[in-house]
Amino acid sequence: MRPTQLGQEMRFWEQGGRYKILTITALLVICCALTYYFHAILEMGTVFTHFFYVPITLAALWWRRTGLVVVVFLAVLLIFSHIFVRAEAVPADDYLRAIMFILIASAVATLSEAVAKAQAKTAHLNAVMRAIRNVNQLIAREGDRDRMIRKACEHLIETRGYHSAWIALVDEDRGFLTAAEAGLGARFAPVIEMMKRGEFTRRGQRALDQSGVVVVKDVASDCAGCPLADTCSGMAGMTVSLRSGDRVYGVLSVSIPDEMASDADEQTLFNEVADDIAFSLHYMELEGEHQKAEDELGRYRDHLEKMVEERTAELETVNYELKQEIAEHKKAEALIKHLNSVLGAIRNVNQLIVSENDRDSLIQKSCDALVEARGYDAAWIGLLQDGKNFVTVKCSGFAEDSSRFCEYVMAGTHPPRIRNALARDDIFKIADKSGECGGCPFYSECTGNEIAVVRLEHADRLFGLLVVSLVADVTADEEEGELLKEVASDIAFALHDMEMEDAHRAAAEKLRGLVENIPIGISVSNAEGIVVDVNPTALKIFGYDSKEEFLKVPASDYYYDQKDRAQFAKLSKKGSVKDFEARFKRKDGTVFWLSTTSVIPITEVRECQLINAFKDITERKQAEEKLLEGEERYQRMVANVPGMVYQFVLHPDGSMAFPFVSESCRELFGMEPHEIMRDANVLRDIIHPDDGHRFYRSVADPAKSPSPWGWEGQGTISGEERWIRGISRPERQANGDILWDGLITDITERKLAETRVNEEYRRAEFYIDLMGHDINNLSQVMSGHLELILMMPDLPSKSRKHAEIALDHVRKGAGIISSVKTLSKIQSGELGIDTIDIYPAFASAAETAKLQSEDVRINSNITEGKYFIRGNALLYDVFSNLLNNAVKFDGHDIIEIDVDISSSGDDWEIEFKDRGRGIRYDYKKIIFNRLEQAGESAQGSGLGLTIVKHVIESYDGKVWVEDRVRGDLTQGSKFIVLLPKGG
Amino acid sequence: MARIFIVDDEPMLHELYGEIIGFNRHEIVANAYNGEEAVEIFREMDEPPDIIIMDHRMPNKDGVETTKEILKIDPNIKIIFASADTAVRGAALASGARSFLSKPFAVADLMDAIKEMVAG
Repeated sequence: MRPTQLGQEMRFWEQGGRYKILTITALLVICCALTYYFHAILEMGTVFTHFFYVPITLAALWWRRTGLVVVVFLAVLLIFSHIFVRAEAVPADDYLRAIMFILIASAVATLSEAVAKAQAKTAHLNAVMRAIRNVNQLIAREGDRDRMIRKACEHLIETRGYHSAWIALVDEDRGFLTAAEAGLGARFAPVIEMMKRGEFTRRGQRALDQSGVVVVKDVASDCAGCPLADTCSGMAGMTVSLRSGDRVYGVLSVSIPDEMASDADEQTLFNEVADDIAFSLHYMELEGEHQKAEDELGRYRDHLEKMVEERTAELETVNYELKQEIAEHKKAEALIKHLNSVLGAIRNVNQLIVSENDRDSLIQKSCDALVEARGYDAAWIGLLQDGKNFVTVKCSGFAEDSSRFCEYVMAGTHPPRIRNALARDDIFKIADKSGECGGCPFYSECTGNEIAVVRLEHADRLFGLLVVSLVADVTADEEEGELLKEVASDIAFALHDMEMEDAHRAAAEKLRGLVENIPIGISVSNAEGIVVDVNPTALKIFGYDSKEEFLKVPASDYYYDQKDRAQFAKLSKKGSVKDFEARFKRKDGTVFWLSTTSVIPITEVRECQLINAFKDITERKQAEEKLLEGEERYQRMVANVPGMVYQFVLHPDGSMAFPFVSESCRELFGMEPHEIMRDANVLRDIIHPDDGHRFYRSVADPAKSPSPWGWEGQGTISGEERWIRGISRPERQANGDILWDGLITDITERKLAETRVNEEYRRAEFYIDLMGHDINNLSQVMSGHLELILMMPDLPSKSRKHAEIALDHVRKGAGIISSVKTLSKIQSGELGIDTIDIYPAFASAAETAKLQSEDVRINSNITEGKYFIRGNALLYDVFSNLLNNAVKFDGHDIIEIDVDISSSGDDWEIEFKDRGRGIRYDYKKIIFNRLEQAGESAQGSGLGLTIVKHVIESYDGKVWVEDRVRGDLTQGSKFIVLLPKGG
Repeated sequence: MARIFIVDDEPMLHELYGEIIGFNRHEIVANAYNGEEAVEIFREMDEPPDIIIMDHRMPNKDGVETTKEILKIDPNIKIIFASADTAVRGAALASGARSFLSKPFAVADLMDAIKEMVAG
């Protein structure tokens, strides 16, 4: 169905069709009612059929041939109403009327159809015109080729109702350029790929080869192999080339309904659209070429304009340079003229500088030269002393007697200009004569217009002033200033040179005086090695009275050993000789040592090939000999020392070395000295690793190294286990090295002895411990039984006495054992040291002491938790011994002991004061030492206070005894204990 | 009258303790000759003693350790430590012993100590 018919069909139902049906239905109902009314009610054989033509005409107009159904219904109604309503035969008129119904309806339907076709044609042509207009508008509006063809495709399917459309463009060789589509989407991609490969669809290829529209009825069957065959199944296709003149730009292809494809108007339209697109492409091509030509033209124009600008600039530069050159040329001519004058003045002054040696003559002639060569009106030069006062003044060009002027200047009364020039650093100034020469008595004689003052300076030294009076035709410009500066500089240089000459002469005189008096002998030899001059010191060294006498003696007579002379001659031929030591003979034949240094003079001096400076080194040589003897003695001593003498150095970077080891290292380590000196680490292989680490740790941190330093370790030397010991005193050197000078000895024998002693000591310790325990038990048994005996009430008095004596001795024996054990513990250090409270030990000891007698009073300020020391359990023994002694040796019925504790710096000071019979002065000194008590008639075993002293010393404390009342031992004793604070 | 347990490795001392304690009308209820034996006997006793007299240096287990173990079993037991080794005085008292007697001690000291234990 064509789209227009389809559209009508839709409108039939959707746009008023319902009202038409209702209208026709209403009319048919009226027709039926009329028929029934006439036939049944009026019982007439004729019906008012004119009304019937209303629905008949309307149905035929609206529905055309379909409307005949209504006609047939009315014809049947008319005929059959006779049969069924009236039950009579149908009259012939009504047959005719029925036939008329059909004929009229057919005629109206035919006419209606013709009108509809004409309307459809008009609509189609309108659509065609719209499509052409749209495409043309697009062509006129779009400047971009790809966008134009894409939108053309979109317009075709929008305005023409085409199913799809695509355009492919090719170049002149029919190579694929680009493509656009509408209605196909991704399905078009294979076609593009195909065209890129140079292949076209069959109808596309045909369209390219011929003009006119290529029509295919069914794309699916006619274009087998085309990627779009399936997509366009059931559709017809139209394809046409896009041609303009002889140029083929591509193809336009559409898929459309079959009936449209066969329409000639459609094909014509399609062709026209294609022509318009081709024209547009042609136009774009021309536009592109035109634009390209314009761009090229623009570039060429820009290039030309740039060239013109460059040439113009070059011409301007050349013109400017030419003008500059002319100006420079003129300037140079003037300068040359000026310079000739300047050079004349400088030349004259320079000639003077070279030729004149006299200072006054130099400055006088310089003034004359300046006046003559430069035509200055007048010139004067004044030389300064100490930078302030003129001492010499010379002038030229003065009309009157110049001596008066010179005196005036030297008198020190200067006009402002001169004062300023002396004070300031500006070299050249033009004076305002009227303003700056005011007061000068020679003002009227100075006929020049301007005065120039220049400082004579060289090497920051001001020698004086050069002053000129300029005549009218000389301009005081910069060039003139430069000339005067140059002349002044040359004169100053000459003055400086003269000064240097004077200084040089003075220095030469001074040097001569020095050579004459220097305490070093100096001689001058000629090319043959003959001495041609000597100084007085040289004569004195050799014992000669005069130079003439010395110079007569041949050189061979001075030398003690002729080999030395030959050696010196050989060395001096090569150049300078330094510190050549040899023995010589004096005039009286005594032999002495000289150290000679010879130099070849820098400047050539007549008969002076070599200058020799020498000094008597006999004393030093004798000292060296003694030193050598000492060295030999030292070497012998080192060789005989029982061990290896060494020098060990630790460098700041951590490296180590043995700069020296004695020969004894062979015996000690089985190594040659050079092996150890070459590599200090060789000893590491000998020493046991743990000892080695200890050694390196002790030397690696010098701050922690003891001084003197000592180390002991074991090693495997020549297959044997040996002990070695190193001792030295480290010293830090200026370069940061640490130097150890020391001795390593084999201490294996000593170590073995020590081991044996330690074993013996441990064994003794064991015996003491065993004995202490067992004897104590025995003592306990004996004393216990003795006490039980003594408890017997009927024990004879004699037996009681024996038992008491036995008990006393058993207890003394137990006390000795206990003391020996305690001393042993102190020596072994087995109890260690810790922070402890003093109070528990003191309290316990006080309780024990109180048991010693009936009325014991111990007064103390020691409290718990307040006084801590570094100690151990033996502190009880200290307090117990001191308190028990105080009780034991008191002798009073009431025993009173004061124990006071106080702080004394880092220590606790505890005083034990008793009221006993006191201790003699000489006994106070030995009371704490059991060994020194041997032979003394002291009470007790004496071990108690020895234990006190040893325990306290093991705590780094002190103990001593004084009189409780100073100077009166009968008032009792005071034991003072100092214990370092703990915690 | 106190019931006393003697712990000492020296048989002669057991004998002495027996004499002294009997003299003062107390009763020895058990004897042990080393620390382990003492702990074992103490554990098996139906009625614990009033006082233990404890030596320090003994085979197998010393007096301080034995004191600690016994006090773990019965914290109220009263122990008199009797040793020639004065250095263990602190450790003995710290382990829980009520009194320390340094051998050789006087019989009176032992009796005073027992009296104090009984009273306290």
